[in-house]
Amino acid sequence: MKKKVLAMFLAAAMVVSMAACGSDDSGANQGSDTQQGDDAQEPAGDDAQEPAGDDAQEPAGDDAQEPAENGGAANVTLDGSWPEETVKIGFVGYDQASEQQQAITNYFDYLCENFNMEIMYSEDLTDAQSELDFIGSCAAAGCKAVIGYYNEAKEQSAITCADYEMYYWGGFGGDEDSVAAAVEGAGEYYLGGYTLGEAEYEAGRSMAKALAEQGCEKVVLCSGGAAMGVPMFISRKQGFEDGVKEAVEGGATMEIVYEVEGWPGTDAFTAAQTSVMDMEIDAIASTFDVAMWFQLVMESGKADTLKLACIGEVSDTYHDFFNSGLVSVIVYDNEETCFGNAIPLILNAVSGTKLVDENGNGFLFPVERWTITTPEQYNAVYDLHDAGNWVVTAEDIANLIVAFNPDATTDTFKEFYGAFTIDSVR
Amino acid sequence: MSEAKEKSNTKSGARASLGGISKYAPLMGLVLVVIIFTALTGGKLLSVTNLQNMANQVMVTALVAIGAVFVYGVGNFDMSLGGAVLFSAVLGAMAGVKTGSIVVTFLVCVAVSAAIALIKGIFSAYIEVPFFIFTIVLGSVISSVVLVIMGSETTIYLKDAVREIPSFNFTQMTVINVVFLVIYFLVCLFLFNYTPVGSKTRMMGGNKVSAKQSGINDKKMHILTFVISAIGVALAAFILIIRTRTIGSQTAGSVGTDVLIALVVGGMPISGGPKSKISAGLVGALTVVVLNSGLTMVGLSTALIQAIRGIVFIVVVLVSSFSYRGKLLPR
Repeated sequence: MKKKVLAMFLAAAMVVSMAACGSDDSGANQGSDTQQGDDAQEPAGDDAQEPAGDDAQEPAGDDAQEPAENGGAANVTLDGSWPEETVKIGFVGYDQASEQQQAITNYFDYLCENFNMEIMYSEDLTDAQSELDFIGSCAAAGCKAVIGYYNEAKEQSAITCADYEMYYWGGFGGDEDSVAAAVEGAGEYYLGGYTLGEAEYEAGRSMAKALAEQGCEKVVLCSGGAAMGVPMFISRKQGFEDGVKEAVEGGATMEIVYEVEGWPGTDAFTAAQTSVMDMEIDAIASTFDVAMWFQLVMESGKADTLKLACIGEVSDTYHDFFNSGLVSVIVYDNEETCFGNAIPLILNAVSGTKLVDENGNGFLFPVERWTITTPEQYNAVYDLHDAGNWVVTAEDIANLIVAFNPDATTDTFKEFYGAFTIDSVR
Repeated sequence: MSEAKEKSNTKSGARASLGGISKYAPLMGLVLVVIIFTALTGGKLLSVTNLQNMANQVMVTALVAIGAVFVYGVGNFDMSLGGAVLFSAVLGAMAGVKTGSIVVTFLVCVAVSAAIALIKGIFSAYIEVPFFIFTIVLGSVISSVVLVIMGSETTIYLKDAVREIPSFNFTQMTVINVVFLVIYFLVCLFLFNYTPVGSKTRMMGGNKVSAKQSGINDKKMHILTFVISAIGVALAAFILIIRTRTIGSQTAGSVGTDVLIALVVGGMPISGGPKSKISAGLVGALTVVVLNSGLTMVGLSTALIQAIRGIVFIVVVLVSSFSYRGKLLPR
């Protein structure tokens, strides 16, 4: 009996102390999401400056710094003290373990060191209800905005945010009907988001074209959820098939010799993998990740003859394999250009200078996926990130915030983010 | 009196008093969680906005869990509740999109959940296989059928309805939720505590053989408990549709587990029987929601939230179980 009481007491003490630690240290919670203060990065230059006036959210005024060249870094002090009041932002995610979400988290961690903001990440959400529940929790926690990385509920998420007087960023996968509904339903609280246009189709097509250029003739296609009717995979598969057709019409010899349906983790997928290893092929193209093939290819002794292509990330996982030539194509959503643009839009909005389109609304703007086909391209991004640097820096973002740069407009914002390509990364 | 006997009496006395306390443990747990997180969040937990939030968040789990008390009460371990909500919601949403009628949407939700309940009830009453195995398989079959029905559509959006289905703002949704929940809870409370349905449910869960020998029609009771539970499932599916206006193949995926956790945290013996109580569904669901909301508002990382939530559940279950562990009649 005494043991039970003691066990309960100790467990309760543990819970309270863990929770209390979180409360006291909210600035540093979420796994160093929000480090600020003394150890923040150095100012960009001697003549750096803070936004003018007591109210840090006011534009800097006439004596503000010179706006940087489009795409260049602003010459400003970014020590995590602006805005004056911490801007809490909710992040609606669905897979914390995914390489893309981890990459986004790393980038946001960096931005949190430079701006006075905190990101509140959701658990892995699976449906619209859990998404709306999380948005409600964000409102209760004092968030000013929500980033819709996972947006199953589409415009309903934006409308719910507006009910709570929170801004919402999210492009709904480029679904213009949902954007229109969000503009109508959420009004001033809808900030917009990026669109990749026909990106899913183009991702498949560019993979096929790149493999054709690399001389691959017999290709296995991993089509993911295409057979289950998942639109994203249907588009990627269609794009790949059309890319192969175009290559053949252009004189190349190329064919899809086998299709692997579904995802790893099933007996059918494993059996298909085994079959593929017995085939005479040049490449395996995957409409998603390709890491599940590494071990099989190495063990089969085909690492020197086989090429792998995928839609994935620039990360440690692929680094060695890309440089060894096993992985030869990666279609990459760069986290800074695709998702990082939420930050200047949010910080502008909360400081009273929301960037809007010609109708005064939030807007979709196009960015590109990057097709990486050479180790030089891969390493340019990898080495940049590995050294703690970013394609889009905090100074770049400050340059898009009216409080730092009074000349920042919607057009400069669109031009800046729309201008990046893999070759612009140096 | 021998020393050993005296020691035994003291031990059983202590156990009895602990049992008395643990009867209220779930409620005390809820109050404790509220107090702790109200303090940690500087009162934000009980702000009007967050109370509305929590009312919306608790709905689906609470509605299904309250009805599930009847099913679990007779000793049926149902793992297909999430699947039932999903199936009702998908067909309800499809009907809504085709007809543009919110009434038709509601009626389809009720009809579908009632049909699933009847299948489960008949299976439970007439077919002698471990029922929880059947429900696990049923849940899986339902998910597959949903994928087949939805075909190339991964998500159903009410905005695609032939006529506009009215949407409800945050406050209106809260009112609808509270009305549904209160009415369903009171009806279930009345049935469970003040009618023969409740007493028969508890008796069957305690000992099926003696319940049958005392004249209870066990087959009828099995089916009846599933039908009562189906009303909660239908309401949950309907609420999901009108709140999210989006139903996908992953909808309600965690409902089965959430309900199980809510019932256990609420002090419901999963094996059913005389210690079953209708309040378990509501108290458990509220505790889970307050805990989730509080942990999120405190600003903990998701990993810490999961760890703390697990510890709290274990503690609450440990305390709650003092009242029924080792006291069930042999079956």
